[in-house]
Amino acid sequence: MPLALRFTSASQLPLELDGILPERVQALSQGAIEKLLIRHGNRLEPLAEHFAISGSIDDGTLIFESAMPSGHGIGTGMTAGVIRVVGHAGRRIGAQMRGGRIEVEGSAGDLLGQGMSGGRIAVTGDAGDHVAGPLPGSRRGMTGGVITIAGSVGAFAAAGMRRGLVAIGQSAGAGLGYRMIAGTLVVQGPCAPNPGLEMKRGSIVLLDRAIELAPTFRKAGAFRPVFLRLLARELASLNATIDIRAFGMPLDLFHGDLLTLGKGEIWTRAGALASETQA
Amino acid sequence: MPQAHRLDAEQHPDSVCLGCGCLCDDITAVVADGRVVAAEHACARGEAWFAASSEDASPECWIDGQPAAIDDGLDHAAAILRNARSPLVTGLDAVCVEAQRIAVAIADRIRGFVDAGGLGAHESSIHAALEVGSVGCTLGEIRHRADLVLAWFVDPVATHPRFFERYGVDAIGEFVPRGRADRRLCVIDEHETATAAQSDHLLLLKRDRRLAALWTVRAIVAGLSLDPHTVARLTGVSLEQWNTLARLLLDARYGVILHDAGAADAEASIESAAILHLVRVLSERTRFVAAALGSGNNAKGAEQVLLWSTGYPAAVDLRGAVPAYQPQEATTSRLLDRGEVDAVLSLEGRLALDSIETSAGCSIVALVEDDLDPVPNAQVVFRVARLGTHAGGTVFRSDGVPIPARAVLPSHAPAAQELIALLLDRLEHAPGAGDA
Ligand code: SF4
Repeated sequence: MPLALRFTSASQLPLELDGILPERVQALSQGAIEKLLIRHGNRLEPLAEHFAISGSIDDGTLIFESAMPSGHGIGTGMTAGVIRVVGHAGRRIGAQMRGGRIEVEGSAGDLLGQGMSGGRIAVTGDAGDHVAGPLPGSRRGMTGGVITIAGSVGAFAAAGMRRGLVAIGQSAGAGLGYRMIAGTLVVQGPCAPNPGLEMKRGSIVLLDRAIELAPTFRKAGAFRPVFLRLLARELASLNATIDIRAFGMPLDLFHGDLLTLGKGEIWTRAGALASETQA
Repeated sequence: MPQAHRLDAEQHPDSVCLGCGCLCDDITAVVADGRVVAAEHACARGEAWFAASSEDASPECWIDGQPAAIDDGLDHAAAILRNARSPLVTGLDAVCVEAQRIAVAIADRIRGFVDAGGLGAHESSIHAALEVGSVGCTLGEIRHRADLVLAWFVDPVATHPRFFERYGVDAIGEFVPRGRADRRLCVIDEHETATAAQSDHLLLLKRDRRLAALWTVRAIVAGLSLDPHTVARLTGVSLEQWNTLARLLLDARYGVILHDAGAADAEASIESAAILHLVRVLSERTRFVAAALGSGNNAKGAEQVLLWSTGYPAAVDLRGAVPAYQPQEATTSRLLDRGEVDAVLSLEGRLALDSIETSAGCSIVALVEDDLDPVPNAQVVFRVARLGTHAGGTVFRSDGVPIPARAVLPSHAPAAQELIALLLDRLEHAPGAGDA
């Protein structure tokens, strides 16, 4: 049976939920869980003041029930177990996560998987800006793990990404894969112009039919590499909402960003670039 | 031209104009009948700025829209801020450094967020400098050395009327003895602006093509070969024209890219970083710097004060045990838009006015400089003396040079720094101040 936390508070002020992790509450009695302190604005308050708590965590699953866009930092630093969030939730979900699984049945705010190094996050709705991005002051975004988002994402998704996999089922905003260092990023829908600016290495697969790349990406040809077939298989096993049939056809490969190292790869559907001559 | 003034007029040499980011400090303000009647050396915009000095007659405090005594206002404001769970201190860019440091102390005391201002105008350039590092200079260095000025989507002739005369293109400098004749002015903008009319080299570029253009120039300077069709399609300007521009940049002895502080959106922050990168590659071949024009406010001062007092330049969260930098979360516009604060101390009245829509359920304490109508959505409003005419204080120019602004007129209202010092005192010593 999972441990369920139902959001009962009327407060809109930021509620910091870091520290409410399956591995932490596992060892605690219901009374002790109720007394766990969370930050509400500038005060520390017991969890029970904002949540009705029921069930137990025998199966390692923690459920946040009901929408709470003001609840931030869910699953911060998580290493094991499962967190399910039913409804929209706030920022920094899965920040610095190292293991375990977070399932968001709804949309997530900004900074999803910020500084994440392992584990798995799945979102059925949209996510805000800076998915898989770096912690403030750091250049490195996500360094491991998997994020799948069925909906759209805001700006700077996978910026500074170092390793891992991010799959986006719909559209992506500006700054996609900006300064990407390595890792794999797949976007099913439209993406704002100039993805992958200053990327060093890594692979970005863009499946929309109209893509605009900066002049510092150069076409290498059309290919059907083994790695894309393996990626398709992985995406299928993750239930990512990506049309993997596209991976069966040759995709155009562009190398860039030549201003940085130029070892990055952007894969697009054949002819998705307005100018086939980009060289 | 020397102007004739009344005999009883009082002259204030070395007054500072806060009409735009030039912060001209060579103005002689002429005062008669309790107002500034002339501002010698100032441009038309500066004269208007001095002439707008208020009557200094309206009440100094309002509580819930009714005139009140300052003491009562302070008590009321202190109670609001002390009881707040998620307070924000903002609008720092509207006041002098002396007031900014007290504002940070208040934010620390009430354990809230503190941020420079509402418009986020400075945000992207701060980010860019943190990420890329920046090669900057004082405006005096531009005056004395720059032989090439590239105005990137800025129109200083219109917005900073004396910039070219004092710091840039038209000025006679030590290493540019012939002034304008020794310098080249390149302009890249969407329209034929007033600055473009004076340029030696103009490129018209659509705003949404800025990133493609910056990448093109960076690539040329870095020696990469580009496809002419791709460049023309992506930028709307031919590769040949970009090559010519790059040549001009590389041939400069000392070049400067003038830009503005940038908006807060994703493209603007990539753009700001790209400008700094371009300056960096150019600096490998010649001397190049980037300079943000700035506005007449004290955004740069806010950045400096926040840096030395909290360790971070903007969007600082002082709710926890140590200051936290939350550039993607704790900026004024984001906090207000998302309704994440329950009390705001705004040192800028305009900001409080603008946040009417988003301030439901949020108590506002505002400082205003003008005879504005009492800010309708604020619980407590204090009128403070206008910086630069009725009150003195230090303001940082966009290049980080501190400029002491002086009072030239008497004021009934206290200076911002005096008023918020009283507020901090109330917060520290009033009942309940011990329990944080
Ligand atoms: S250039 Fe700007 S600072 Fe100088 S006088 Fe004109 S408005 Fe004032």
